Amino acid sequence: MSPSPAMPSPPVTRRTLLALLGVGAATAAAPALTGCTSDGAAAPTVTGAPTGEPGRGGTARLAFAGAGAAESLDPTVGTSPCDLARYSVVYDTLFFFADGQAKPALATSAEADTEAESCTLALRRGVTWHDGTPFTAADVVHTLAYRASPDRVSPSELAAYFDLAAAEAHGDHTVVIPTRRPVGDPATLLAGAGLYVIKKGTSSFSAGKVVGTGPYRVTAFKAGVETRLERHDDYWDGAGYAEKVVLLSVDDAQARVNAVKDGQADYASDISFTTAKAGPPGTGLQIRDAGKNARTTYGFVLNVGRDLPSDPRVRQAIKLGIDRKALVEAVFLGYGAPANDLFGAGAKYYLDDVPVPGRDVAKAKRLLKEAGATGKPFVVRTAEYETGLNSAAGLFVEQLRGLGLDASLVKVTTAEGYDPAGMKACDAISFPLGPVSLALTYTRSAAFKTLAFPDEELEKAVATALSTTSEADRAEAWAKAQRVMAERGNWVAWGRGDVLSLAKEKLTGIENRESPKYPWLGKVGFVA
Amino acid sequence: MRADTARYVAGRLGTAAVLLAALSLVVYAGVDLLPGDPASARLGPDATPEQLAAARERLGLNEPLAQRYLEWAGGLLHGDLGTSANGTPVAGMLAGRLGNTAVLTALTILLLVPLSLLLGVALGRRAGSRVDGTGSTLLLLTTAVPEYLVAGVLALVLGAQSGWLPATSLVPAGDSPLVHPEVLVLPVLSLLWVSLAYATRVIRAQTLTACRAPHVEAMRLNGIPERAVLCQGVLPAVLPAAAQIWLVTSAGLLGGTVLVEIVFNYPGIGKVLVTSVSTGDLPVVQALAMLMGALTLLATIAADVVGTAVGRTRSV
Repeated sequence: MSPSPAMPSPPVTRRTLLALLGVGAATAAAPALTGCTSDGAAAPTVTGAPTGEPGRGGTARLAFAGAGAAESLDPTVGTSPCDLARYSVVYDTLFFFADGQAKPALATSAEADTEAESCTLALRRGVTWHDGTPFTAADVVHTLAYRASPDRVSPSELAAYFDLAAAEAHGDHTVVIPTRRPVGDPATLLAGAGLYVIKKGTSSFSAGKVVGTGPYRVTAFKAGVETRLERHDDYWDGAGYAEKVVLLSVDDAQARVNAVKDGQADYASDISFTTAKAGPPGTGLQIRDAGKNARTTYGFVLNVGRDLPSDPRVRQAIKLGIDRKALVEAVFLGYGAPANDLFGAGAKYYLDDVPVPGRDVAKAKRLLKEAGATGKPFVVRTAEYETGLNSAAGLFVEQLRGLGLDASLVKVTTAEGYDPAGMKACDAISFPLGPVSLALTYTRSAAFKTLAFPDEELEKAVATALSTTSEADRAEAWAKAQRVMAERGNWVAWGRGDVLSLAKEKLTGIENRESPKYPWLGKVGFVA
Repeated sequence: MRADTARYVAGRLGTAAVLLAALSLVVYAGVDLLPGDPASARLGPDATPEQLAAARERLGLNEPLAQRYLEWAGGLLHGDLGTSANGTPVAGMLAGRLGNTAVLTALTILLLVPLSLLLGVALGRRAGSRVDGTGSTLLLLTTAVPEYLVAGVLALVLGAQSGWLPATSLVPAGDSPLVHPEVLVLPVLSLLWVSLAYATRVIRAQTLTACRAPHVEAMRLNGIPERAVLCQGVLPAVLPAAAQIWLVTSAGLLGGTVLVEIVFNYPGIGKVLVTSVSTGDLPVVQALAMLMGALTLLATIAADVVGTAVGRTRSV
């Protein structure tokens, strides 16, 4: 071969380069000119869907973030919004959440006995499976045993309260589940457990075979691509409106927006604050928020196993010293509000009257000095579980430095976010939580040693709230638990952000149940 | 010469087998070092440390690395790609998607071959002219633009803004993307954009060298028509190098569609890779890394063999 250089190129002259740069700049500017509308104030959003009776028929296509090839029709496997949106229309749960409260679905009541040793479920009559057979207690017993089996992908939080495998059918419409510890409000626990009822004898979940009792049945399914659903006309809660529902699995938020923009979808769930700020990207489209009670709470949990956070003065100093307004502005771009350090907003028994702490930098600095914390290292750990968590953590670290702490940031991937060993070495950990029940809110963080707040009064109050069968006692216990957390707890919940979506103006019937990120689509349809 | 070539090919294949074995070790151990593990991927963030420990025990994750590697490699030899963190066989998860990515790659190569050859030879023969100057600079600039930017701008301008083409490649369940050619246009364009510049530049350089080679000059001096000079003198010198570039590019494309697949939500293996890495589903990552590594290795060897077959180059 010739020894000449592999790729002799002509010299790039200034003139050709400048000429080409001009062309490039013009090309780059073209989309910018048409793409942006305005900056400054947040574009207004519409809360909820249009009112009015939707017409029967039509196909509603909705895009959710999915889990790619790992998606499944087995309701004990998937955890992505696309999986959960699918499960919630194909299957029914025993109870579901609406407005923060447990409401009856396949079970009409759940009673704990006086000794709190078992719980009796009364089941709804007249419910049929997609294949036309009647729903009975045997199906619920099968579901509980399937859920409790060690072969399941993830353990159920219910196993701590109920002996699921020992549940028994008493007749066709009653199920008795033995409890492992006193359960005061079984309906709320069951509603929050993602317990989708499957038919007795179900062991495989393939597209042609899967049956549920939900408002839509599966006609085709490809993991990470789409689910095609058809209306189940005999649905016990009234048949849906849209004839067909198509769930599209689109992971990237911008790709979801694009799908709606170019007419391939009618709804894009969970869109970014930046997209919302630019306003609706086309005529006939609107940006919706899920309402104040469905906001996601963003915050940090202080690791009281470490020196600095174990000092109540340091905890108070951080709560007083951070600039919540700046965080809300920077992360939610106006689509949110400062929070009062409590998770659980929107749930039943949530204490609405706890005020957002006023900012007092001088006092915060003084408290840190008294605690001997000034100049000490303080490690903040974050992973991008929700959009903006990492940038919020960055800003938080800057604010802590301003208070005199030698704060630093550890950014990790979501796969290692809750790694116990990693968390142990950090003083504060990013923690977002949607509007879930207080039972879940308070048990979930307590399950991790590094996130828990070991406080006698708190633990007693939570135990009472979970076990008492008296409504008044429960409300009082939850109030007490929340006052402890607000007064001296280890939560720095600084803000609540809207959950936004992009939808065709005529699309209606999107119902927030467990989470606005995977709304219930049983009554989805189009208004005239 | 024949026997020599056969021996060379056999030698290359032998090396490939050794390299594949080494690759499997690197992939398994390397992926094992990634954050997360199948147990935490399986149970999710809500699992308690006790539940995690029990799951690790059940999945055999407490066994020594060497033992786990041997079991995994043994499975590979039988065509068993392992089981994903959520219990699904990895082979089933990849089956349809590998085909989808292959469709993207094949279409890109189909367009790349004639376009890069035409452009490269045309520029190479006019080396030094204004056309060559502008063309080469343009190519240099396009290679400098990252593919996700190209894909993003294409999705915005030709897709979402104008509505001419779908900005999101939604393929109905059960259909092949080939049934919906409109979803392929933008992803293929984005991939072509990046690979075309590179292949064209190599072909242009080869053409330039060939045009100045003594045998071509001799043909010209003998009054052979320019067309014949091109076909019999220049192209035979250019094609082997071009074929090598096309092969290497196709191997690169199989693994390099990741960003384009993400931007367009195209259901290929690139998307599986990203999801699996972010959820810590290591068995899937290991299978994919092995698959992509093996394909790249095979394409490189094929390129070597092509080079040898025409007696051009030989890497030892």
